[in-house]
Amino acid sequence: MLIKDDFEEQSIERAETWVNSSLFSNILFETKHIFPETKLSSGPNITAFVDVFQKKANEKLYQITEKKEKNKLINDLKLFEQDDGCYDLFETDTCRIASEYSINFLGQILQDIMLKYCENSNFMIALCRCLCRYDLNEVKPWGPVMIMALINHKNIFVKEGVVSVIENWADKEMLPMLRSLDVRENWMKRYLNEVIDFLQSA
Amino acid sequence: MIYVRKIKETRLYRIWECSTIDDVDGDILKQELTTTSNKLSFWKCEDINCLNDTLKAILLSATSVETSFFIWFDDSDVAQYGFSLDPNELGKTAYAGFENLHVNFTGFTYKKIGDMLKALKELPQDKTKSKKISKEDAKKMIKDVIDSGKLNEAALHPNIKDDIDKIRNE
Repeated sequence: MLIKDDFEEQSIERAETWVNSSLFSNILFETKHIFPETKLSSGPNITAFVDVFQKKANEKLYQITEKKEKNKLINDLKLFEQDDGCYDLFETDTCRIASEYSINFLGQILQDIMLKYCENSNFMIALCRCLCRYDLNEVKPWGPVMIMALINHKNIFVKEGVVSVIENWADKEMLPMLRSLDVRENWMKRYLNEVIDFLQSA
Repeated sequence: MIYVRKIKETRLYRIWECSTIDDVDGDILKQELTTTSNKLSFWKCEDINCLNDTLKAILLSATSVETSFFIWFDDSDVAQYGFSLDPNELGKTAYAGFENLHVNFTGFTYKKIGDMLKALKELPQDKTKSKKISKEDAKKMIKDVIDSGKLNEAALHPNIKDDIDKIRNE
């Protein structure tokens, strides 16, 4: 969007200077490779060139932004791992990402973190806490996929987090998954039964 | 008067499960009974009939709208365990006009933290002194506050603002 607006608002000459900046020079190179005969200031393929450039630039921006935000969240999670009073940093950044980009963009990052750090119980607990704040329809389909992956986590507090997410979603379709959950701790059995009762009566 | 505090339900269950407070996990102390200036934050109401206003004040002091669990003590509990109260610090809530429902339990020492743990352990398990509010009910309560014109936007925590906007538009 930023790229498209800039192209529309600026002259082609100014855009040429802009795209030659280090960030976009490789995209320009790739795009020129597709259109070897095209010069930015003229030529019949200029519209197609701009479209391809724009698409590639957006992809690149997406990758850069995703990497930057993922690293930020991982740093937040490392602080949370040391002190769970530090959850607010992770919470604030996840809220900002969802608000600045989209919940689905946040979801992509959360899924990546889940895949890479699945063994880290504290990270997974934080992911569950994050999911609790969103309604089910906001995080479909990736939210339920994460929950299905985490429900059999070996750590009881991750399981607790998963049950808490399901309770917040109040989704009856998840009842079979909860009923099949095997827990030994009495406090967790009590909580699980409460949530099952709640969903049944919802 | 009753004194209400939000607590994580499962942590209360874990306290209840211990045969004595000596067996309560250290993590629970840190997670639920972290003091600031030797104080623990509570919210009060005259009696159980006006509990809803207090719950709304607590919900609007949070950073998100979620299923929430609350416990409360009454004056006899406060006397039994010897808790000291200070009502002078206004609560940080977006429920306008209800900031004065906030009350601090003060003077926490190692022994007093133990007394608080004991008070939690001895809370009746039949839910006569605890209540869970589902996420949907929490949303309805917040919608009531919005519709009554008592939402103080400026006092909302930044992280809950998007959630409040969604409730407003639902």
